[in-house]
Amino acid sequence: MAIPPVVALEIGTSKVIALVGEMREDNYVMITGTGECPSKGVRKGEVVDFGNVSACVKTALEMAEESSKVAIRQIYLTVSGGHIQCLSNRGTVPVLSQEEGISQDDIEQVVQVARAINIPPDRDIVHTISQHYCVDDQGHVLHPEGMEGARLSLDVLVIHGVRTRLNNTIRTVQDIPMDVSDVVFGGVCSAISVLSPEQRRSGALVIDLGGGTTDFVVYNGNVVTSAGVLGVGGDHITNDIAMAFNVSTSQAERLKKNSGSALAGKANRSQRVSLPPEVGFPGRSVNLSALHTVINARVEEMLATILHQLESEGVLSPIGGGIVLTGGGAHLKDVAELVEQVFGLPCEIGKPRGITGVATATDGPEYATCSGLVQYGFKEYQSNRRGPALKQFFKGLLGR
Amino acid sequence: MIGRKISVVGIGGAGARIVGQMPSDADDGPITFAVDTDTCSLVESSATERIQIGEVVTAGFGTGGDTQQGREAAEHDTAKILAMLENMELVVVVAGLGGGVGGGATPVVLGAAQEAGAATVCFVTLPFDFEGAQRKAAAAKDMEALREICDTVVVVRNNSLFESVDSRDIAGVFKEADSLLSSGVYSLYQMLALPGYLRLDLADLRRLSSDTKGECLFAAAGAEGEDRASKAVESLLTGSLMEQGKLAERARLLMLSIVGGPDLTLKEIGQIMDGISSTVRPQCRVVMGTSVDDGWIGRISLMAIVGEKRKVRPQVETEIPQQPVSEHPAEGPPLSPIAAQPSKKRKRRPRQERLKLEASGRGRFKDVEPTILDGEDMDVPTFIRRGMRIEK
Repeated sequence: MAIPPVVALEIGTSKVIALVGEMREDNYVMITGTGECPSKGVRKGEVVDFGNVSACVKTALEMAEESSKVAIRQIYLTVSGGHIQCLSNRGTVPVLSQEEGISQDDIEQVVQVARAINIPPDRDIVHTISQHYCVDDQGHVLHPEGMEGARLSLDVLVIHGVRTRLNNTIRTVQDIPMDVSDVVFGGVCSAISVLSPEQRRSGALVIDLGGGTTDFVVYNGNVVTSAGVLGVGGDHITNDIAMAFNVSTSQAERLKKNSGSALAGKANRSQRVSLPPEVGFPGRSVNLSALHTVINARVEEMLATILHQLESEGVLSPIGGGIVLTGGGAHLKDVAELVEQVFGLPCEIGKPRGITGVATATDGPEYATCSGLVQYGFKEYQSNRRGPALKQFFKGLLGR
Repeated sequence: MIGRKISVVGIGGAGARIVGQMPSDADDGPITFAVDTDTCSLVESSATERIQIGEVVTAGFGTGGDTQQGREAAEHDTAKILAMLENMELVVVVAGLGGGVGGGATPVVLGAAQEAGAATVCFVTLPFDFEGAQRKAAAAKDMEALREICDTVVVVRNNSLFESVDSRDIAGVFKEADSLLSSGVYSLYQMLALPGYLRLDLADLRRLSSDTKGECLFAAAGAEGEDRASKAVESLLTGSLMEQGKLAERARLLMLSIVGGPDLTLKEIGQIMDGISSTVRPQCRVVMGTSVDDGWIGRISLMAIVGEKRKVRPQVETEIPQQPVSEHPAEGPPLSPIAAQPSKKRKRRPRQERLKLEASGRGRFKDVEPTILDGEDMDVPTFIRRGMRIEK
């Protein structure tokens, strides 16, 4: 049976991206169609203008349909936004039969208990990710089935967000109309896309510097151990520049892309960059070192905030695979060096892996989230075929 | 032994009085100067050197609160001032703002200090509330002038300074307030000039000034005997100069100097720093330094210079004219006769209304829900929240 193509859609703050992927021989994912539209009506990863966003999504999907020659009816969708948080929960059950050891029933039971978590009533669970089992006092058990013990516990990581905001993103797509097969947190997608199997095993932090939000995900021992969103992104850097030098947003964006650097003090103090004159703008110049100072202050603060949060959770210490930076913000000059300075860990720019096809889609870090989502879609499809019990383990279930 | 060449200059009546209170008799004290136009106030001051300025301008009297006269007097005797500041590395200026000499001569002296190649720190007092709005406005104007020219301006509000004084009678109150201020200035001197193991130096001071746009507040306290460390830190933090601790809570930057005798222990320093860090916000940058003065046995003096968390530009709003001028510019003359009256009396020049400046600084994020983390609005540019100076 041929595997149907997977369509991934990301409604980002700066652009809406749609990718169509097909599974080829040897489990290789090939991107056969892309669609992209500059985003209007999204602020900090959340929909603020329904009509505009709908139009953008339509444009992107139509482009993807055209280039892939596939009629799109069903999509996978990423979500992000400053409201998304994670928390870990432990569920414990007594083992039913001491003689026979831990059975499949016990495992299903403990999954149920661990997932039954109290979150505020206005929130929905986006993912529950099983961390590891504990049998009595023995921690970090991967497959408890058949082991002997009196108590079985499971730690899960729950990623949750505000229901109305999640639904607003979903509704823009459903209104087209289009079916949403699953909703996945953007940070998880990026991590799937950019991390090597080795990094996933030995631990790595993925920071996705998006336009409106910065998503971060910590992988360790093949599972997501922490995740979160900082509602500050590349737009903030642009806004800072616009306010510091009294220039328009588009000029600030250009300054950031062409002359920006995340490190302060690299430029000569007297060096200036000129902004060419435009209609209604006489043209002027800006001190390069001051520009870098403004960018550095913002990016350093963003990174320090993430560091602070992850340190308080204690998930950073076992990281062996370093930090992978992705998202459009990874294009910022010297940003990897700043990450290394702040975190004291090696940092690389992550690009989508394990995927081929249309050149642009496999190239830049800004496509990591979407191509990760395509891979996620195929993984889910495969685990669905293996059986519903397994699905519960591997799939980040949407609690709706 | 003087490691660095530091002089303390008191300008005007208040400055001369405060400088006179400094323990300058010791061999290692700073060189103190009193500068004023009024010969009487100079005679009373016990500064090392007393310099009369503007002999021609005021004929040995005060200026009567005229800033212009104060400035002229100083400009007349620039040569004298330059001679006194020769070869100095740091000039600490003490003055009361709102007065003629304090307000007028101070910028001239600071200019001369810069010309002489010295770094400048200015301790200024702001007038009491009861001295009237005019004097306050004059002081605010002087402040603007100082900020232009001085590296670091440390502000002491007379109101809070006098709250922290116990005395009842007026002479006692002033004497104590002066001595509090002079001891603060003195501990700054001790910090910079005396030997110590954890030193603060001019570079720290300069960094402080560049990070706070050159304006900070000041608090000082001291204690003797048993438990002196905890007593001193408590009275520093709860004193009225710290606004009963509120100032410390919203501080963005705190520079603390601890001066003790040879018996100052590491444990005491630890006690003091614990007290400070339990009060300030975690984001606050604390720099500290200690120095040892042989004469300070059994005593601890604390002096803090505090850079505040940046407020959301309150002065912007006061600049906006309150009257509803040109609310309906297209509708011709105002309809209300009351509003029309003044325009008959005097021809009003058409004025460009200023748009209400956006006070929050959130820019394009003004209509979305703010991202608040640890009480800070992350949508406001980081450089604004940190009060960094950006060269345009």
